[in-house]
Amino acid sequence: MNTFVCMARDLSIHHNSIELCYKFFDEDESKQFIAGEFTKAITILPPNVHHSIESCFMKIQQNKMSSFKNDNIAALKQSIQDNPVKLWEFLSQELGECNMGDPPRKISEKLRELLQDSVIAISSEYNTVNNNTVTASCINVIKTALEFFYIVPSADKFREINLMQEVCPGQRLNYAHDFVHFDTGQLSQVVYLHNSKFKAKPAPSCITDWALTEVAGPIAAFLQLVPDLQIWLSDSDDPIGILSDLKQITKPDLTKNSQPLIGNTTSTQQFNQKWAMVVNKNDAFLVDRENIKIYKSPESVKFHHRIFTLLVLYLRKNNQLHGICTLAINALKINY
Amino acid sequence: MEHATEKILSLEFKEKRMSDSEKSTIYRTINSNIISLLCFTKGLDMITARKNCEDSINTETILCLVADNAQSILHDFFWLSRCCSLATKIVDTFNSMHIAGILAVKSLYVLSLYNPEYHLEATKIKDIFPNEKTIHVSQKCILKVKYSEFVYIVTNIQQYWDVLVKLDSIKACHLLVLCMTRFGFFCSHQLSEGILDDIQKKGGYWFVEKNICNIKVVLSEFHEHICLYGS
Repeated sequence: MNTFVCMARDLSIHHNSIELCYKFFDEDESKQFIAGEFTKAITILPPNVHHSIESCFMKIQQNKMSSFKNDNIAALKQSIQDNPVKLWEFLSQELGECNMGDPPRKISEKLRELLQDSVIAISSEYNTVNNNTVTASCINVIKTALEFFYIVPSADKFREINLMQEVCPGQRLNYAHDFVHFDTGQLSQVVYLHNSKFKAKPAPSCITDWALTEVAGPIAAFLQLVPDLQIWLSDSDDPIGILSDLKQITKPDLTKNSQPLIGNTTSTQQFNQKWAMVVNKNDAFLVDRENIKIYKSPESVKFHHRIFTLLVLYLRKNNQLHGICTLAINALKINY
Repeated sequence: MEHATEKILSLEFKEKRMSDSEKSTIYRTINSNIISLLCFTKGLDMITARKNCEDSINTETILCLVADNAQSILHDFFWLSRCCSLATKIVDTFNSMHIAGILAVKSLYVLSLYNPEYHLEATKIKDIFPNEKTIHVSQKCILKVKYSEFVYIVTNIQQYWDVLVKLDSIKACHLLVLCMTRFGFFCSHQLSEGILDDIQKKGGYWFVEKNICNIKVVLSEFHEHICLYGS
């Protein structure tokens, strides 16, 4: 029964998940997009403008954009290339001057690319909750944010997620029921029961150590940066939020109380109750527990690890992209 | 078969969420209906049983009731019953998820028995996944394997489940339904030691006998259990 329920859940989660779209901008497309963002920013209206005035203004802006000569766009694109401080100033306005600080004396090519990517990531088109398309630019921002300070400290979480992916459907639940008095809620017990020769993979120490086919590295580092995202096991009571559980039970309750003991649930840390990550042997899924929606990453993502698409979506849906952009820019600024 | 597959894959919960006492009453009714249907087929081969079913209005009504409740039981089993908590409340027997599961597999078995559209009898693992030779551990039809072979098949599928799901989730679901249907058969009959040849050395025949066939005792305990558990 335990095996059937877990197999069916894994199957159902995989089958009902929505695959995210991935978009890659080449250098020219990026600059074109940024030029558009610059133009929009110049002509932005103040808040609380009457609807009819706003629509009239939008029409004028559309006409203006359509008649905008290619030469002008080319000039704007060239100025973005030649003078990256413009990007810095633009971002200072969007993210806040105190967050961005002063620009470095010399803006390296990598920092210029990151500034470009940040403009795309926080644009009104890609930083809205309804857009499920993730661009390479958004991924580059998160990758840079994680690169410097979060990989080595995530070793424990990396091992934990690796163990989650080592367990076949039903094995944990069978262990919990068959060896209830020995079960301490640790996954390593289950893994070593079924495979005594199991050897844990070494934890990554830098971004290049992340295996492209495995999700543990990027997720573990991300959880160091955004600790409110909780990982749920697909064989827990309520992995996708149907029962509206707020706590995950990781070990069967030996008492006769109806309320689960705090020690049997994951720590008392405050987690995001609306969103969670479900990790099983198949893959990792981002779950909107409030609306029972499951998202999965695309099969392949050009130049990046595919799991980043889910992490970008989480930040976008929780309005955290601005903070991550600031962090990434500052991290790169002090490391170069 | 497709109907059962859809039910397993679906995440839409159309029915009103039942209270535990309502659930307990419905489970008892469904179990009685399944027992009635099984008694009706006792000693008959499948073709005769189906023929008799078509002739008997009463049996057909009961069968419709079981079919109508199948989706809600499957949802109860997979998502609505708690699989982790209170695992030891009824020592060495079952929690609410196990009970919903036993009813679900028995329902699948009874439906497959009476419904000629299922056409399950001839299905082998290699018919479903012909290229995945790693899981071709038995050449027999899944619905005819002994208990030891069944355990071996399920363990093997469990190991490769992630691969199968990614390969073709509909076919994987088909395979799961077949295994559940066969387990439903083991749960529904008092079988001989020849068929319940447990290789896990957990007490062999007696383990299965004690843990699977005695559903009436479990259901009565379940009522008490869900009352204690609360909503």
